[in-house]
Amino acid sequence: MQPVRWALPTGFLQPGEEPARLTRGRRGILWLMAGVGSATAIAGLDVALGSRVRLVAFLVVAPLIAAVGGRPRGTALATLYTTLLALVLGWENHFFGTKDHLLRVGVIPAGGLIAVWIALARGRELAARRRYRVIAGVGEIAQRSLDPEVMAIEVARLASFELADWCFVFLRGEGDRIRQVAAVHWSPGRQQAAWDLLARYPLDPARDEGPAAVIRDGRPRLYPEVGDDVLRALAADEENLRLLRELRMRSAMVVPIATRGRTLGAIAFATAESGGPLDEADLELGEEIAARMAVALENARLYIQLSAAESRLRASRDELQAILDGVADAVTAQRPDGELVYANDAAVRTLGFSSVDELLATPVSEVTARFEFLDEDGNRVPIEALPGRRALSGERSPEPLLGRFRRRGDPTENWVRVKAEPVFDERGDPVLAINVMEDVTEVHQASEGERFLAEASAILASSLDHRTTLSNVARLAVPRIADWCAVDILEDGKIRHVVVAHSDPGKVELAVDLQRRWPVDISDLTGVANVLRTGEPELYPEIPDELLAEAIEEPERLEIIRSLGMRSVLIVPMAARGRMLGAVTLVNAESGRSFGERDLPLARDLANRCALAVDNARLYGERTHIARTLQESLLPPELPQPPGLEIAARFRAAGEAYEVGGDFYDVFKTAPGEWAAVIGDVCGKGPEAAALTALARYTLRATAMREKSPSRILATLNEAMLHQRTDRRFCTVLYAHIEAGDGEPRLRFASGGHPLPLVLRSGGAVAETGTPGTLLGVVPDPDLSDETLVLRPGDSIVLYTDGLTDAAAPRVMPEPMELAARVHEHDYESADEIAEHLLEDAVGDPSGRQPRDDIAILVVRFRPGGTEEGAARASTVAMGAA
Amino acid sequence: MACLSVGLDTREREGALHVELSGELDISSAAAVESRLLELEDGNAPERVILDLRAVSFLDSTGLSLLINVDRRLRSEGRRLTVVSGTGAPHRILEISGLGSHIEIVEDLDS
Repeated sequence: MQPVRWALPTGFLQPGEEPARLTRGRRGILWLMAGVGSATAIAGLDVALGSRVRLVAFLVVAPLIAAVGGRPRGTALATLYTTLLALVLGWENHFFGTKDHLLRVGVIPAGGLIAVWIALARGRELAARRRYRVIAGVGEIAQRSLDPEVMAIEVARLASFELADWCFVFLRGEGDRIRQVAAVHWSPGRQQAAWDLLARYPLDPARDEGPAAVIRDGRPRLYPEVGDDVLRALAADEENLRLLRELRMRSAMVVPIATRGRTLGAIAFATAESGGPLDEADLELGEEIAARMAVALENARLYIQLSAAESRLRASRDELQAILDGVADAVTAQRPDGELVYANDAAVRTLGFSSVDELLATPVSEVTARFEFLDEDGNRVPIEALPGRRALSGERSPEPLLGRFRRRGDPTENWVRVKAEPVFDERGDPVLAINVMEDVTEVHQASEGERFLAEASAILASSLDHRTTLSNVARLAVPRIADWCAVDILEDGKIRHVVVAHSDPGKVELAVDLQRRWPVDISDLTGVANVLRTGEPELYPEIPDELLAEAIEEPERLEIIRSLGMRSVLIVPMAARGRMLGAVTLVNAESGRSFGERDLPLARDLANRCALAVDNARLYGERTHIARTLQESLLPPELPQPPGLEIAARFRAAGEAYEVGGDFYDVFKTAPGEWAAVIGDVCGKGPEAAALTALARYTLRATAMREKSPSRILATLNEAMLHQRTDRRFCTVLYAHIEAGDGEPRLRFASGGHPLPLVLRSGGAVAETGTPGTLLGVVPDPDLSDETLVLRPGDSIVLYTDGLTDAAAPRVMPEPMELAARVHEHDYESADEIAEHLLEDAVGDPSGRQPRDDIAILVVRFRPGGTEEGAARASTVAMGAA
Repeated sequence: MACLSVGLDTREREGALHVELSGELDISSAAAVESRLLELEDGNAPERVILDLRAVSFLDSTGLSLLINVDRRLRSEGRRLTVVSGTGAPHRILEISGLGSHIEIVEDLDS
């Protein structure tokens, strides 16, 4: 609920000032009294003079005087009064009924009629003047004010003076709401009563009578007499009725404020102190006030709307300008003749001008001559094919153009997306093209760069041979990120040239020649050497010829470099894990491209990935070297060749070369003519397996010196493992004690969970022999037992690890006997041949897959020819994984 | 996650947890099988666990390690492990390993 605007216009009421209506009423009565008084005086004079009603005719002045007040009713009363007075005077002077008397009396009503007519005319004149005053006043108020509330209060004030004692103005608000805008009485003391009323009983829009009804149906209402019935219809309750009665309204009218079929509100007028009922003429005037007010309110509303719209428009235009100047995209507008009519700041900069005015003042042919536009493949795009020109030829939303933009004389090249949209006039002809040129260099380079780096990474990961991978990466880089790409790496303090790549092989030859004849030296002050020293990249956006001539002394070298047309160079360091490993050199030549700061991140990223590949290869090499060294240390470097025996071994590691395997074997002398042959398998791979292998090997060697029983030797190892190790890693061992002395060769052996030995008899029989025992390192009381075999010359014993049978498991899992039988079909001459054939048979898998486990084979053969010494030593063949 | 070369099915069998393994029980799968077994026993702790290797095509030393570890663990808790070896590759390896006198190994489950 909006509060009633009680604030009064200044000078609203001066003390003692009274409304015109009241003044006029009083003045009318005064004139009537003056008329009646003068008639009475004349009558008195007539009686005093006894002049026989001579003065009777003069009584006619009374109605004439009364008529001056402009009140026809009063004038008529005065006429009646004087006529009666004239008759009475005739009676008094005994002259009654005379012809003379009747004639004179007759003059009075005749004159009275004229006076009434004068009074009517006078009244009409006064009313016309009032109307004029009121309407002029309303007009003046409307002109003075745009504020509906101020206007309403001033009009109400005018009306309370001229038309009625009370004037209330109501305006329609949002929805059904009605705002009480003014409540005015010409006397401030009385006004308080209205304020109290409206503050407590705001107008109920649903009322059947009064302003609410008028606003609702738009019809004026006249209440000539405001009786209690009317007040009851307006009141909400008894208290409301009491307050309404306090206004002492006698007559009232309510008129709608309406214009163009819209009801904006209503004005209520009511007479009180000044009395007198309101009539149709008043209603007409009230309606006229309301109509004028409606027009004024409507104008004010439109004016306010208009100025608000104007200011919004102005603001949005300024805003648009600010936005367009603020955006990074270059925005221009051009006319059908191609001339530019608008350009934002970015456009001015992009086109290489210093100000908008300069750009707009330059003929379009000169503007276009300043830059060139290349498509994605580097072909020049003619001006006519640009989207702006196509938009001007009437094409709606022409296909955006992605390409490269560069200003002539400026090597910087930007990737841009150009869009254009035509603006049509009312006839549908294009009048403007709005061009937007978006710089997508970073986006383009980033996505292109990401793709390139992903491909480079794939190449680098494809092999550990970094020379090959770096060469392939350099070839990938041209011409995508540079015209030339070269990689140099730092090895043992020297710069070694790895690759130089260019899409033209002829040029590569030239560059290789250049590199060979004038190699980069670590002491060079600039270039690769400097980058390697400082770890900071070097960027030469432009290489002027003078710089080349200055830097290169040898004329022939300078000539070759010139012929390569190098114009921009970027050298980035290759560093990984804190080590400087080399440098990547990127050169731009015939493409005309130029390197800038923005190319640095991609180049650095590439160099880092190359560096990591080089470093990984180095680390891998180191690990492989360590693993090989360790593995070799766990196998005997040379096998002894005891007299009468032939011993051969094979070892084949599975998996990655940097992993130490768990298979081991050993052959050593325990006493004169007595030898030990051992083969074992430690669970798992890696350093822990290697440590256990070492433990097993040296424990066996040490124990064998004081103990002859293989099962007891294994039991000792079992104890040692349980005692020293807590990781529950177990191992399997086959220990064989060979007596190859003067007597019958004998073999005593025990298995600790290990595959049993195969015996290949010289007669062709093959057997797996012995009893399984418990693997070692798991239980404190392993089942271990010794077996003894008597051997004859030509017999062979094969010891092996399960890698031999499991090489192609579970697809192919030959029984050990089968293996041995296959081998034994051939009539072998030596232990070495047997070992070799067994290995080949196991790993000669047509699928070419890596064997799934290490393979160790140890073959002991008793010479057919006896026990003479001097047989060639068979060497250990330890083959790493390919 | 490496794809496992081993399959694992479980069921209740007369109060025992019967775990049927299939495929290859080797270095690439043994650890996963062990942690899966721990999960299965969690909050359940059956008196007896039966590891059924009849459908296992390949068993290597890591697989043997697994059997040894499970046996040791169950034993320390007063429970027991039965390994069903079948007659294939696991049978031969278990035989060679000499574990038969320390771990309850049966060829088949007919009872």
